[in-house]
Amino acid sequence: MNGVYIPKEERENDSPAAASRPFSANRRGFVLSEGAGAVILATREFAEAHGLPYHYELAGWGMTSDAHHFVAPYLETVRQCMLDAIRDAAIAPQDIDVVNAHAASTKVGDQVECDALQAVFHHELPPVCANKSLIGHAMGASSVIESIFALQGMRDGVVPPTINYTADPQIEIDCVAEGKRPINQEFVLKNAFGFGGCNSCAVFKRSS
Amino acid sequence: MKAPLNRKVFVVGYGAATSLGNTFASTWEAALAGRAGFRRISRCEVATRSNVVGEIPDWDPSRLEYVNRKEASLWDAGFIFLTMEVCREALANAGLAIDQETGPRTGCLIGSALNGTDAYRIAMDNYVNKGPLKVSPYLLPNLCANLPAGKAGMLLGFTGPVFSPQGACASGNHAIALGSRMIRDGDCDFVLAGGVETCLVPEIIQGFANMLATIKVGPKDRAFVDPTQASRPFSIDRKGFVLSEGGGVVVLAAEEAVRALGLTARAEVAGIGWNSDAHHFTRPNQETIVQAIHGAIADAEITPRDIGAINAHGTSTPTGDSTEVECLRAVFGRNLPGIPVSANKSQVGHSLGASAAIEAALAIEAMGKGIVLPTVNHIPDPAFNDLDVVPNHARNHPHEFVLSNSFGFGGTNCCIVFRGM
Repeated sequence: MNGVYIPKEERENDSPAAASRPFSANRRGFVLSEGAGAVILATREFAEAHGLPYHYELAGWGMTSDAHHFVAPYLETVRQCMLDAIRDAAIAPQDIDVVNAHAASTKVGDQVECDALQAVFHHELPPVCANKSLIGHAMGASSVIESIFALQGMRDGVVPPTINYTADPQIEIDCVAEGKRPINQEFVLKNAFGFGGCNSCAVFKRSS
Repeated sequence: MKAPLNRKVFVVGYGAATSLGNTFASTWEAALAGRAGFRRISRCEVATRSNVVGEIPDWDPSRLEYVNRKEASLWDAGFIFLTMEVCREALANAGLAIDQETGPRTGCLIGSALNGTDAYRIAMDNYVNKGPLKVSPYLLPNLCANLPAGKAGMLLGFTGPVFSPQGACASGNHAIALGSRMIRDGDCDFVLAGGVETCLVPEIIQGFANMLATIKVGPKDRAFVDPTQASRPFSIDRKGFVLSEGGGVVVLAAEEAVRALGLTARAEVAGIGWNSDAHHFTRPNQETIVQAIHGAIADAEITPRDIGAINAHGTSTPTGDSTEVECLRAVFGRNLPGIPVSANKSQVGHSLGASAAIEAALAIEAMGKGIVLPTVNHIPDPAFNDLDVVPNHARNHPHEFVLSNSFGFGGTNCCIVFRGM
């Protein structure tokens, strides 16, 4: 099964830090990681009543499943999932300032995600960052950790880079490869997809 | 997020496979007749007296028409095919056709306590005895908790949300509760909600035996000669639960979808109460369980006096059953003796993550027919003489509301009130 990173023959001694390279021409599978993350959700009323500072809102979410294949992603339902999240937030795709991608660094997965993004954004794709280039794929923990990255990035007006990047001619994307980039963000789309063909996307909004 | 639609949610069908039968219909018939489905284990060999279990009779996934030899060898986590088949049965029972309209609006939430651990033990055996390259490339998807629901979607064609609510022995109720909220809010029009468990492997049986959770059937026990008597919730000689495999799925639907498609509502999901104990990893906690029951009744906008029957968690453990009775006394007070309390685990055993969904289906079918199912194998415990457990025989008892309790390891509680039609 294609999935986890296996180095090319005679390249076994390459730097481990360069193993996870989402959207890159030479991506070779995800890097398995351990990890955990948690966010605390609350109603606005509760936060205000208890003096809890809040900076972000879960503006919309979407969930779909593929009914297609046990690991291969499916363009149509992945696209639908992103659109559902954006519509649930009552915004349009062009309102999204940054996409925090699922991007596991697999051949097929990254390609399908990019194709789905191009379909949703009609080839006017905002910057896309792939945190798995930095922390690998912590499976069930990954999307919450990456959501926290996205929220922190919104707060600080910055987007973490997608490292280890080598452009892939099949993947037309600005993945913030040059290093962290200052971007003022009001809306971020967070993608997450799983084995079994389950898709879940969230839109976060910075509170004014 | 869009404003919630505030829709009513109905149960329009169900499927099940239990130690009483490999379909809901056969399970129901046996339950109504007062039978229990336990036998000495045949799935594997074990070195413990906790060897009386609930096996699904005549369950051979390789005989399913959509399972060819290749599929059967790749998917070695038993919960996958069991989920696919129970979901197929549930949709057929509901008369819900999955098409371009309904497919994207149908979700599938199948919980489990132990998931694909049976596949992991095969992989470990291969790794140790045959070498690392003999670990199946399908191991990881076999382990994924959401894979059964995903494979059900590939078989049946729905593309709504699929994931796995993990609430240990309450997972089935968590699935029904989450699915109901998602339909109420407008995220789905239909949800296949339930639980599945294929836990009859040596390590798991031994693990439960070593933690003193399951009954050990010695030569002097009444189940030694007759294994069907091993599970006896609320009985004086209860000694632990009987581990069972099983799957249960209810089909939930939004009110207007029931009407538009001409489906038959069997019950309304009237109220949900869920919380956790913050107390102990296995011992139940009275205060929070009472809150969960009150929560479900309050959510249904009724009072405890409106509850006409109780489908207990009732696992047949000495302290678990006592605590549940204490909680029922706290909620229902002097009215408790007048409310029949059925413990389906006396008949189907404890199928962990599947049990609450199976019991919900049984409770709803019973309510629809104006009866209450029995608690079989019953020998009264004087400590519970204020409890009507419907001993040994089903009984006519028309009722409008049934409370279905479920509690799980880790201190997780989920109680649901269903309203009859």
